[in-house]
Amino acid sequence: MPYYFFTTKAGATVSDGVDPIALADDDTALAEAVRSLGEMAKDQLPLGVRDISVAVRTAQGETIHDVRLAVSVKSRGA
Amino acid sequence: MNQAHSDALDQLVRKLNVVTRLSESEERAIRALPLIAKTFAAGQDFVHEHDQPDHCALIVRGWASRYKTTSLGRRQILSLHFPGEIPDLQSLLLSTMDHSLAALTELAVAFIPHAAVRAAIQAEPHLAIPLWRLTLIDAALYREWLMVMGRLNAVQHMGHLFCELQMRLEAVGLASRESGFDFPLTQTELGDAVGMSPVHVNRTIQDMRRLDLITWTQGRLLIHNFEDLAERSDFDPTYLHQSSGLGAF
Repeated sequence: MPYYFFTTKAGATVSDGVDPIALADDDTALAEAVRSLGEMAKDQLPLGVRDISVAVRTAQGETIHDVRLAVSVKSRGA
Repeated sequence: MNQAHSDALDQLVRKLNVVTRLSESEERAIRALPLIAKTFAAGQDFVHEHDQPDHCALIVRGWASRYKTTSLGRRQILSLHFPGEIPDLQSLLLSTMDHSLAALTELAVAFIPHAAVRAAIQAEPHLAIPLWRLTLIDAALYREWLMVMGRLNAVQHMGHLFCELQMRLEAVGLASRESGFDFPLTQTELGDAVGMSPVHVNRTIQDMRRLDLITWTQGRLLIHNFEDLAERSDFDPTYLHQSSGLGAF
């Protein structure tokens, strides 16, 4: 199975994917990136973070997916 | 009796003595149990969901997991098990397995015939108490895992698991505060145990390293400051019922 590197960003905090993860193919890597966005959102949104992203790179260093979740808030009177 | 057989029974006696005080005759009854030794490769099941076993599986060497799989093939690891434990003890009283057991590492298992366990309890009725206690503590672990799964964030969840493993492995002489413990899980297996994607596990472990909470290299995990991690992770070891407060019997 090919290896993929995932770099996650939550607000200003970046975690470089130094440990590669073996997955079946590029589509599976995308599915895992989307799934991890949801998991990060659960922890990060209550802390006030409004922008979360995951970039997926191949073992050769090519970025194949960039997945982003942004929350916008419109409040009364704002 | 060969050495492996004797070692397996030593571990079982030690485990039972954690939750009770075995008398000499009870210990003799345990040491007289017949065992069938088998080994399994990492990843191999040794008890299957829907099986109706006529033996209990005593772990002698290595790590095992209890797990269930969804209809889409997604696995949830329900608990982790070490030498001296009998993760399918319930099969003595509930005939059909509602989950599977798999080797996480190369695993040595000693199978004990149900009939022999029943005969030992009939001869020494008090032996039912430590076995009952072990199943109650098993249930306490599930309550704790459920609370952790539902209410803690990822770093706390992982920290809570590592504190639990440290204490459980210390109790059977397989961990120390100074050198930590063998932690043979892959990040994917760890994700299956905490209900996280491998990506989120990867990020969480990096966060824990950045916060100087743990070192995890070459299959060994060291908690840098147990009390600090326990406090951050809402870890209260009461549910492990390892020491005082077990009461009469």
